[in-house]
Amino acid sequence: MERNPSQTDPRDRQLQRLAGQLRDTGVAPERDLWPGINAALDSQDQPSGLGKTRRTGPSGLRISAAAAALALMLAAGWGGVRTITTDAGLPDVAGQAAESPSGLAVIDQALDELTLALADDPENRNLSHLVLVVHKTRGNLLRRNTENLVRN
Amino acid sequence: MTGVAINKDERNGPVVINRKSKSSPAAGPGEILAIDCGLADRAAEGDRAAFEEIYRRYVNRVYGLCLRLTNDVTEAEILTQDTFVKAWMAIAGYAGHGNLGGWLGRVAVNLWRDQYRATARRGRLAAEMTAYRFSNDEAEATAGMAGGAGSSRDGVIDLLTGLDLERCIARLPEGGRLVFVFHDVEGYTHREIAELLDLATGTVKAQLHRARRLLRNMLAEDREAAHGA
Repeated sequence: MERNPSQTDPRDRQLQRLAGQLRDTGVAPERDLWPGINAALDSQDQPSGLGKTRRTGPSGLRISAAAAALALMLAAGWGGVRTITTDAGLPDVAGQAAESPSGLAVIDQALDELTLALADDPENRNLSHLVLVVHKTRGNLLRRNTENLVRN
Repeated sequence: MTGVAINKDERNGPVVINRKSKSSPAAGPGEILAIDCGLADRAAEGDRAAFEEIYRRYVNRVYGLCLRLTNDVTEAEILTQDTFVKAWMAIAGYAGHGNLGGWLGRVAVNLWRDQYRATARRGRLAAEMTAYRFSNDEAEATAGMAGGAGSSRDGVIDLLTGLDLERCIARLPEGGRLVFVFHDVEGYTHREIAELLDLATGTVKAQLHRARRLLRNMLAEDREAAHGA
């Protein structure tokens, strides 16, 4: 994240300087958001680092951990589900979930897991790609369910 | 967040710029980093009070970013809350590299991006930007760059405040707003923005140029209106 002011119009540099100040000064929300956050945290697990040392392993390990968690979740949901892998070598959660009657709930769970993994490793493109695929499949599944409802 | 109507008028309401933000205390960068690391360590051990302190220090920075990205107070509040909930779960991943505000900002941008990509907004934005690139606005933009349109208003930016700029950013078209916020406010490169928004780098540059020109004109007009009133 770098700026290159030397290549910009002087008027743009003034604007850029003022804009850069906005990032740090920020904007105060109109109400205190902490009570809502605190309530949401009550329903969450403890931070992932609780009782452990910091996770400093390579991002590949974190992807594998997320993928393994998703695969286990799928296996627990429907025993004997066939294994499909994506180009990235990760289980095709979306594809499998879409074939199940309880697919939507599993997709939502998978999205939660993936979002956490992504927050942990924001630059990970494989995870971003997987989140995108799962979101897309969720939309397809919703559309299919709606069509079935209309048809019946 | 989907299904929440975007009401741009909400942005014209009482936007409060916190000039003494808790995220920018008087302490030096090294001291801030040390405090942040200490708070993050305690939060990673489950200390909710330490995490609340992190929230208090950085909520204005995160909320400001969310508001500029969504242009809607309700959506910004939800995104801010989601950001801190995700941050609580992932706080052990903050290894003290860079400032905590920047790390929280990336969590917010990633959450925003996932939601943004899951909606049709991405397609509409790409169409809006492509249409702009091949319109006559290119010539207009070039004229502005050469000092033509608006050149008599050059000095006006010196007199402006962050509040003026916030209000004008909210009035930009979506494509220009996002590119301006990512580049000029958050410091992302053209390439990073292009990847984030799935656009060509040239499109990002053209949009940024257009956004700056629109902002300069808006700011000058507002200033003139204020003087005339």
